[in-house]
Order: sequence, then C-alpha cells, then structure tokens
Amino acid sequence: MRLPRTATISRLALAVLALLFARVPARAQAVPDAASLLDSVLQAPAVPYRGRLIVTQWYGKRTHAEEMSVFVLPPGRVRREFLSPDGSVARVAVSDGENESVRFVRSGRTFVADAAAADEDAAGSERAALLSNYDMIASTGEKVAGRSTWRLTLRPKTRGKPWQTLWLDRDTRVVLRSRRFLPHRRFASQEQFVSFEPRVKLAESLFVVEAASGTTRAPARAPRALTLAQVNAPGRPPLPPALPGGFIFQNAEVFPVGRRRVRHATYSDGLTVLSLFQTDRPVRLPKDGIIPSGATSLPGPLRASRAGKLIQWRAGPIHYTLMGDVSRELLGDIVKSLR
Amino acid sequence: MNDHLDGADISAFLDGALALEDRARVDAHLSSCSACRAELESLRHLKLALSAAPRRTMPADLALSLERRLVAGAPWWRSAARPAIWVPAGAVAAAALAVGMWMRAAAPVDELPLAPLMAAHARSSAEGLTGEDNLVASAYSDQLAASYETPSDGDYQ
Repeated sequence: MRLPRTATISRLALAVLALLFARVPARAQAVPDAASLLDSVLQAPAVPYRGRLIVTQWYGKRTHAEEMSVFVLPPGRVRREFLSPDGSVARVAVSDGENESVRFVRSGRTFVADAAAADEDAAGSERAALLSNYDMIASTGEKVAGRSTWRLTLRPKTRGKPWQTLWLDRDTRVVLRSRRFLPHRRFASQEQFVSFEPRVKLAESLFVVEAASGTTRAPARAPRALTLAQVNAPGRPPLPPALPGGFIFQNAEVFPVGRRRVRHATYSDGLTVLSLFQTDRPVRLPKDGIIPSGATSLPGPLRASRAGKLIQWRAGPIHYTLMGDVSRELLGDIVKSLR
Repeated sequence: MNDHLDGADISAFLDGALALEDRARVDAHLSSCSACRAELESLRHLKLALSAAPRRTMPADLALSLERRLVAGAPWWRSAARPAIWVPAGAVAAAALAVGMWMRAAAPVDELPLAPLMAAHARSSAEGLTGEDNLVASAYSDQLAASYETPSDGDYQ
C-alpha cells in the first residue's frame, strides 16, 4: 500500500530528527587529549571503588591467569584479595598508605613492609620519560565492565618495547583495562575489571594492616634509595647511567640473599622497567623456557619468565642477570652495551 | 610425567636448604611423582647409612712403617706390587669416590636462588605506571615471602 505524501515526509522528518538527537550525546563527549588522560593514569584514584579484576599473562608458550577482588579508599588505602579457582581467598594484601601486609590465608603467615610512598618528583620524571619515549594516542574505547571508556595507547618510539593500551572509565578516570604487548610476540599481559562499582561506602576495617603474632617485618624500602654513585663501589664494574632504548637509571639497592649480597639497579623508560643484578655467584635459572636467540648475539641462553625475559652472563668475577619485558634484539643491544 | 626433579633439588629439600618457593614446588612435585619420591627415599637411606657407618682411622704406625721401608731402600715397585698395600688403598679410593659423588649431589649448589631477584624486580615494576599485573601475575607476594625468609641484618652498602 502506498502512503500519502504528507505521511511519508513526516516520517522522514522524524527519522532525521531522531538521528540528530542520537548524535548529540556523542558530540558532547569529545575525546580528551592524550596528555590529560596520561595525567589521570599517573594520579592516585580520587573516588572509592570496589571491583573484580582478572589478570592474564602470556610469556613464551605459557599463560597465567589470576583473579582478585580490589577495594580502594582514597587516599592511599588498597585491599586486594587474591582468589583461588574455587573463589576462596588465598592471600590478602593490604596497604594503608604507610605500611602494607601480605597474609597467606592457608599458612596464616603475614609479612609487613613499608608501603610505596607517593613521590611527586618520581611521578614528574616518569611523565617526562613517557612523553619522551612514547607516542600517545587518545580515542574512544569500547565498554569495559559495562562502562564507557576512553582509550589511551602508548606506542614506543624504539622498536622492541611493549605497547600499552589503557581503557579509562569516562566517569572516574580509573583504569578499567590495561593491555601490554610486544607486537607479533608471545609476551603480553592484561588486567581487566569484570565488575566495577565506584563511590561505594567501604569500611575502614578493610584497610587495617595486620600486625598479628607471627608477623614478619620485611626490611624497609630505604635501601632502594641508593644513587648510582653510592652503588658503584670501587673495585666493581660501574653501572651506566643509561641503557640503549631510552632506559634511564632509576635507583638501586643492595640486599642479602643468604650470606651473599645482591646489587640491584633498575632502569626505566617511564613504562618498562629493566632490572640488572650484580652477584658474585651465578643465579639458579629455570632449566626450561629457553627462547631461541635467532640472529641476536647473546652471551648465554635467553629464558622466558613471568618477569619477562631473563639472561645471565659473567664478566670477570661478577655475574650479571638482566630481566625485563623487551624484545630479544633490544635485550641483545643492552647486553652488548654492558659487556 | 617427563620432567623430574634433579638430584641437587632433592638433596637440598632433604637438608631443608631450599627457599620457601622452591620447597613448595618440590613438595608439590613429590606428591605426584613416584619416581622422585623413590629417589628421595633412596637418598634419605644413603644419608642415614653414611651417618651410621663406623669411622675407621688410619693406623698410627702405617706412615712410620712406610717410611722405614723407603729408608731401608726396598724397591718401590716391590711394595707397590704387594696386595697388602692395594687392598686398603683401593677400598679407601672407592670410599672416597662414593663420598665425593654423594657430596656433589648433596652439597648445596653454589648458586643463588632466583626468587628474591624476581621479587625485587616485581616490586620495582609495581611502582610503575600499572603495577597490578606484576603484583598479581608474577606472584609477587609469594616471592616477597620467599625473599624475606633469609636473614636481613647487616649494612646495605
């Protein structure tokens, strides 16, 4: 049946209006600039929330997944309940901003350590390193845990480093999903909220750092504050201030393992952290997980681990262990610069 | 199961010399691997047998009598050819070889465990942009616990 002309025009007009109205909310939500999204990521959460998070890691031919409940109460209070496959709590990590504890439910043991303190200077240098080493791309993201997101992609300016994509909740700017990967490689990790409830009322008792009997007080974090000059002891090969790929010396620590001392220096490009260890004995590495070195010249076998790749070599009386999540080619360049 | 524990791990497990994480790993493996359990029992029996064996000391006059023979000018090959010398020497050599092989397997490997280094790296990474994955998927807290099983006294310079 043919409709009268006036009816057709009215319907067309209604359809056009509907389309226009449908586009209005999208226009109102212009994509924020990438630097503003980055600042949101670097800042501590501003609203309390709770949620369920799943973390998946791919390394070599293996995959590891873990689930946890997260409770956050600004400023600085965080509770993480790591869940067993049957849903029971396996361990609980609590931070009140000054101290943090890890309680193993099954054994009943608790470890307490100083919490990581917010360091504004470090945050500033981290931002500068990120802007120097990565291109930032902001865009509209898909929904995560049923919530609208902005997507921020950090694309490295140097080949062989992981990309990172973050999905930020449009309302609270909390990172709801984060994916880190090396293109065309098997190393990747992803954390994603499967449920997220902001602005909930959370009891203060959730964030009490445990100090029950049997608690082991871990060494304070102060030793990490060693500078390059302090860690470069006479008679030892000096550690460099920078490594290929834009990695800058961050800090160092010397900690005991049994009767031996381990020197640990960290290098960062703002996103990826490399750890370089100096020891006077070799480190017992896993026998499996060896990665073919391909055309890369390396002083020893390269292994896949949950800390990224691992390689060990010896220079005189000093044993070096380097670990980090970069390509074997870049790792080869870094090792070459250290030998 | 194709992957078995190596002798050093089993021996260190028996001696209680493993770090917490390694102990848990070995314990878990032993619960499901009869071959490694048998190896563990075998090593346990060997250690018991060695600790219970009587310790024989060298006769005090043996060195003196050997010296006298040399001074007396007897050809070395004559005494060397006598079975009385070779039997105890062979026994001592065999015992030394057996003890050496056992000690090689039983002595703690002169290597540092990896867990404390992984924990240190995870902690550094966790202070970065998004540390959740390191805190969780690298079993950071397990490694933290393992790394703090060791004494922590002394200076840090």
